[in-house]
Amino acid sequence: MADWQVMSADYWALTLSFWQFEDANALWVLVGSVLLGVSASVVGSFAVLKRQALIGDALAHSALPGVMVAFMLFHTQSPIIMLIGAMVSSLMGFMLMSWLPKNTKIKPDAALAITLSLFFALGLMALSYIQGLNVAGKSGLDKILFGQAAAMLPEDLIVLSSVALAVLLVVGLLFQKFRLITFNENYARSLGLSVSLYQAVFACLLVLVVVIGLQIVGVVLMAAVLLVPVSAARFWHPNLAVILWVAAIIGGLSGMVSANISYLAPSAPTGPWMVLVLAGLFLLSFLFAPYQGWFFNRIRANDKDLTDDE
Amino acid sequence: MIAPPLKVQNLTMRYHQAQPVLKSVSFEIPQGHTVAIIGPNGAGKSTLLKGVMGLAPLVSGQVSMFGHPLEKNRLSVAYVPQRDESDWDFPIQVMDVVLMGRQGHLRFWQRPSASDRTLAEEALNQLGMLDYKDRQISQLSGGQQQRVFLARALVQQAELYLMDEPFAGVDMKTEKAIIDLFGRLKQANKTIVCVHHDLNTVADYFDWVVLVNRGVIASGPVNAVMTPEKIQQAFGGGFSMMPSTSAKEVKHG
Repeated sequence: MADWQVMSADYWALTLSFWQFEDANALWVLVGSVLLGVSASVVGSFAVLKRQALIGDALAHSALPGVMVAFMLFHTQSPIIMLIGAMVSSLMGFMLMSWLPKNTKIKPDAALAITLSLFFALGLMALSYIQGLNVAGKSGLDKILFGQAAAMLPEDLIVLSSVALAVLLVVGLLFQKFRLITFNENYARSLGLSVSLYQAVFACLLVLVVVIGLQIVGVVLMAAVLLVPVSAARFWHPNLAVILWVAAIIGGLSGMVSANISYLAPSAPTGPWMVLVLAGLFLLSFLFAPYQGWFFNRIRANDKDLTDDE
Repeated sequence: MIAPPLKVQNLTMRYHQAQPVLKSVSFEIPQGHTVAIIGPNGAGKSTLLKGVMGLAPLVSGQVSMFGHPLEKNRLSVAYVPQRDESDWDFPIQVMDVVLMGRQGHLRFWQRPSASDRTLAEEALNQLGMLDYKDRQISQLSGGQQQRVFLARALVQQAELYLMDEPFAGVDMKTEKAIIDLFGRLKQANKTIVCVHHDLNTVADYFDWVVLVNRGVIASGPVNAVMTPEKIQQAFGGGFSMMPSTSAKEVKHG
């Protein structure tokens, strides 16, 4: 029976049991997905404001070969090994796309595209090589392309949740400095702030959220979780602190819904669902958000016309 | 004798592999003066200021402030970047921008305190911007944006102020606010160095001039530097003092 048939038949019964937290694993998936959505959207917000929206996309694609090599070396999918493998190759991707524009005539956007496709190609080749191998524990490696929350084990989720919480803590601590550097890098330097150090910390945070997102959202669609929440949140409020909170709520909601869906249809990829939920929330924000949403803008414009007539 | 607020020795700067933008620049600024750095377009005025602030690489040369390198003097120096180098769509309010001026005094985890806020309000008040403290910066006119940047520099409570074209494209009200501010700072024996592009207003706003074109042509009190010969030397042949409209351009608001 196909997944969608399950959904139509037992949807409500299953949803009810999901929200009664009868299944401990489902609860873990819920917590992990929400924390991932929240931390990715908060970190992604700064990247978008710095006009580096696509760096997260390239970092996610760059993680793929690292995961595969880590598996080839250790023959295990233990979360720490996978995390380290992904981080190492993501950071290598990051260095390549920063190095190219500084030392050659290649522009940053081209450097990003080159890095993304090169690493992704290497990762796909390694994946198909592994699938031809006769080793135990290789099943499910391909799930990191589109994410599959339901396949996650409690130990994966403990790692994911701790990293997400740590990332949120650092952003909370450094919010003022990150905002200053994003707005006015040269001015921040003139104050004597160690701008390069803060930027390095931020790059690590970005790599971390991308890497913990792989199992839930997947390599291919990770960027959406970084970019869409802040883009939607800007319709809600003009101030960065509030924008981050709204983005966090939007990211968290999308994580929640996708956890629910992966409970209803365990074999379906979670990434596309998460992106669809985000797109829906974006549309709602675009239409009905009070600050810059289409509906309230229209009302305000009409009011203004009326007062102009008087 | 105390060390001068700003001393530049043999400064050479270049971008990429091209000709140096600035070659062997040396000058000294005495304390308590309002100084204009002037020169034709592409003379390297903004580059000079960035080099002095360590924001662009030096090929060679030395910069000292009050007798020490910049790193030892961060808190005594305030920099006002060119207005159009910033993203004015950034989601932030006026007050938060001004409070950025206190970040040099705060540790990495610290947030601005109540006394920092009081300082910021005083600075905004001095520039006639207190009513705008809760505004989004995207809603400000060009002149108002400039006054916010000046308020931000003011809360740094520095001794030396380096400003990149503070008068560019501002309205009359802002122009007057800046001149008043210069007067107060000068009275407090602070030093102000501005990149400036309007020759006609130099004598009104400033009392000291550094004339630049890829190198220093002259440096000294306004009367000694603003002679037709020296200006001709910096700006090339055929240049005459014409009323410039660009600085007096009145923007909305």
